Parts: sequence; structure tokens; C-alpha cells
Amino acid sequence: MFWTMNRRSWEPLQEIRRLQRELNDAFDGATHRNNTEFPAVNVYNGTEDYLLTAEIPGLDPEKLDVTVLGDTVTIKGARAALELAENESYHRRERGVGQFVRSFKLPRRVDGEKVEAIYSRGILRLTLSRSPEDQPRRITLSGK
Amino acid sequence: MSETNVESQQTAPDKEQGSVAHKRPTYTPRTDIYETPDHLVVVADMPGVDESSIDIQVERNVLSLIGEIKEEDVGSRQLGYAEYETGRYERQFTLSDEVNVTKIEASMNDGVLKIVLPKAEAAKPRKITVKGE
Repeated sequence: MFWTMNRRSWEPLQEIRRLQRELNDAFDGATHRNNTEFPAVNVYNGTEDYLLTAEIPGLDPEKLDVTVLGDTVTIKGARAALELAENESYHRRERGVGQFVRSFKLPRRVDGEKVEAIYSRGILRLTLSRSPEDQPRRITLSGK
Repeated sequence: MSETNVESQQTAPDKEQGSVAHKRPTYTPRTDIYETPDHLVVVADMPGVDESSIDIQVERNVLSLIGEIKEEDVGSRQLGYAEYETGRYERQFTLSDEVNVTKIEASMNDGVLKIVLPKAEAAKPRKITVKGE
């Protein structure tokens, strides 16, 4: 089953790829996760922050780079290949290796100083606080 | 090299899936398998799974891996965009009988499952000398 929801603020090209992927999955019996994008990401919206989770198994946290600019968060990193000795050989090789980079435009700006990153069980969790100047504000009228 | 083969069996899609309630989806973990002189090593990507929810079974030469993905704690936040769902990983491999099933070792690290299957003595490479007549 697929999610249908409001995704206004995301890249159209990504949406097309996503649609293609969903169609592929539908004809595939949907047991394979045919993500063309790596890592797969979910975004949860809170009133004061956003939570971004990414599936990055086997990551060396030293090789992860998270940058925040305005309303855009970028995850950049690399996954190393297994190091096989000369007398060892592959039977099957499906796990992706190499560099990855993904950018996400959030609905509102976030505070680059207030980003919390946790990596466990192969999931990266980024908690991004909304910019103070972008949070709803009450305006009081001052009479003359 | 000995011919220790590991075949993959795709888990048959569950026909019941999605018919009534929204069931947790089942995924096929991406897996690397390599052979060393003494072992077969299976490395499977299972992000979101911790060691306590891993179930490994060997029954009649079929190695089964099951891992339940732990639900993410999101507090009161609402899902705004999704590329993956919380479900389970499941996969089966047929082992040739040259694996010593009693000495299989497994470990889980950062969402990556590693299973080391020692080859049985009979399956280890052996040098054959050809004698002249």
C-alpha cells in the first residue's frame, strides 16, 4: 500500500520517479523495495520542529555530513564496500556502496544551530527546530 | 574452489496483504553473500531492526531471516512525507548441505545483519593431485 498525502513542497522530478517506483512495485508483487533513491527518507511535521528519518544501514557516522540552509537540509555520506581478501569471493552482491547525497526542502525554514542528529539501528534521526522568525507570531496593534 | 551454493528463494507475496486492514509490509533485505575458504558469510541490510527482533532459522537446509522493524518514536508529529514504511524483513536462502548448521554465528550492527556459516569439513577446498599412469 502506498501513502497518499499532501506533499506540496517536494521536488516534482522526485515525484515522477516516486510514481514510477510505485508502479514498478505494483507489478512486482511489492515485496522488493525498489528505491532508486538512497537513503529512503520520511519526514514528520511537528509544531516546533521537523523530524527526518533516513534508512542508512552500516554507515560510518564519521562519513556523514548534514547541512542546513534556510528550509533545505542536505544529507551527504558514503557507504564502504566489504573488504574481501584475495581468497574470498562474492556469490551475491546487492547492497549499494559509494557516495550518496540527498536534499530536502522543508515546509518552513529551520534553525541550523538547533539540529539534533542521532544514528542507531541503521536509522539516522534528524530533529530540526523551526526558525524562531518563522514561527507564528501574535501581532498587537498599537493605537495612536 | 568447492561448489558451496546459496540460492535465493523469493518469499512469495502474501496474497492476503492489504486485503482487509493495513498490514505491515514485508520487504526483501538487500543481501551480499561471500565465500571464504572456511565460511559462507551473509550480510543483509535491515535498517530499523535491532538484534532482539531478529529471528534466524535453519530448517532442512533453508536459512530463514526475519527482522521486525522497530516503530520510530515520532512524538506528536504528523507524517508529512514518506518513502518507507515500518514493516518486516524476510528472506530465505537454500544452503547446500556442506554447512555446519550447529556453528552458525550472527551479529547485528547499525542495521546490518551478518551471519557466518562455517563450511563442513567435507566442503572445504582440497588439493587433488593427478597421478600419471
